[in-house]
Amino acid sequence: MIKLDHVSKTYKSQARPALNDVSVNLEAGEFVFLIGSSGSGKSTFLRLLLRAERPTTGTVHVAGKDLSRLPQWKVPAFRRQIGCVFQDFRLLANKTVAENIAFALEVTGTSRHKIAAVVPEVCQLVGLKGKENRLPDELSGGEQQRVAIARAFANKPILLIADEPTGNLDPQTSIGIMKLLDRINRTGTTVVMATHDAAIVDTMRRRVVELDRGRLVRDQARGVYGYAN
Amino acid sequence: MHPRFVLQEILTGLRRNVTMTVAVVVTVMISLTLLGASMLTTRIANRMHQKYFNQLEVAVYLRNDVTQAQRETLNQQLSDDPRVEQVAYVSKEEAYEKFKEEFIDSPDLIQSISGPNVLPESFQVKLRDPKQYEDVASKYGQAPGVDQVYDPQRALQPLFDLLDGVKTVARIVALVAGAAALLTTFNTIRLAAFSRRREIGIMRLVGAGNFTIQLPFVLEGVIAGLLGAASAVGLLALFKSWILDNTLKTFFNTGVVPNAQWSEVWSVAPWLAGLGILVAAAASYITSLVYVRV
Repeated sequence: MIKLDHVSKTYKSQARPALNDVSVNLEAGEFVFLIGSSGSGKSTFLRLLLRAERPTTGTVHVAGKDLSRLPQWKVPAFRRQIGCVFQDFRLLANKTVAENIAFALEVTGTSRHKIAAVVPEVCQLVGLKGKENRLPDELSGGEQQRVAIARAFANKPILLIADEPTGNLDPQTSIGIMKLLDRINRTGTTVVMATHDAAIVDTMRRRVVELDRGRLVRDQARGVYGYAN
Repeated sequence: MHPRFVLQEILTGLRRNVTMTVAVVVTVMISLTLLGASMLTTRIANRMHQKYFNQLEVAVYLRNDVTQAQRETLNQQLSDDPRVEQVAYVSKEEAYEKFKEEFIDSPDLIQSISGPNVLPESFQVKLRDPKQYEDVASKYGQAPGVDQVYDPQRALQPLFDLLDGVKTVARIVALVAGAAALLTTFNTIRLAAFSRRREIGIMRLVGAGNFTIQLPFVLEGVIAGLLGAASAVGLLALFKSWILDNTLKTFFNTGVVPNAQWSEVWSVAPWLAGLGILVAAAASYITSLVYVRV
């Protein structure tokens, strides 16, 4: 599903590489935690998977595609296979829950008919049934993140990328979000989640990939957060 | 994408950005109005050209006390002159008839002339090469019985120069206003993109195509360009009915310079609309390119 082969990424204005010779192989259907302190290269890792960045050296394969050879005009079609969730939710404040989800489908050319069917379905899945017509401001943080997950999942992605999805949420709410991500994972969607949340990583006992100053320092099946190297 | 969805996005964009959209509409309007004015002036000048120069005849006016012998000598000389293609004698009566015919639209002017005696008799001379006017004029200008040699092209030159001047000034101002319209469009689209940055970010993330991302911007440009062009045509029509048909009525009634016609105003409209839409859409498209980079 995801294959990084000796990937290094150095940003223009910086001497130290954000990622340094990282090789890792993530299988389809896996749930992977990406951990590491701030500046360890987690965000760069995720941006490479989205082809928001290109590696300086090495190759990145996602869903069978060599991203460094993927022409610019094919990037949108590639991204339709990937769902994204962020710490700050990134919802449109002037659109309701249903409109936010429909927006992502509209702009990727989904038919009205299909949108009308999919939106209630994903609302039900993420537990927002009955709140379709609320505005994001009228929802709690956890509910807003559920909207964002519903939007990311509406396209039925094969890969879900979550960048600290529980970073703004209290522990109780975070557990609810993690249960939801786990359910999505069990539908067959690969999930890659960057996080600082030790409790979650320790509870879930999934594969852990740890980065430290751009280097891959740990890749452990059923790992915990605090494992010292 | 569903048309209703696109329309909704555009309306939201225009509403968020209404002051800048107005600025675009106004600058486009000014630029296109002046361009339209210059196009109308060209059409008027062309009509004038046709009116006066289809004949392209040099008139040799005879003195009131010209003798029959002088008249015959002149006719002979002109007929034998290799530079002359054709000579026609126009008596006082014929001149008066022709005058009445030519200025049939201006009864005031015809009234001001009491009768055939006022207008001089003449030879209407068609030159093989109109540029030889100077030679012909100097040769026959001093001949016995000749009052003066008159070249309509020369006499009307100041008027054509004036029209040319109007055209040039209108074009320069249209160009400057056009540049301002372009810059305003760039800025407007930048602001529009800024106010839509969250939407754009999400669209890029979920894999919306460039066309989808850029379409609202281009359509906003098209709408602003169309509104600007429509106001420009409206302004030209207003100018025609207020200034040309009212204030300058007496001037045009002399018949020297033809008035702009409504058909000409309307014939300019599609050009202005096309140009307004094209330029605004192109400017919007180019600016929006910056914001669709992945």
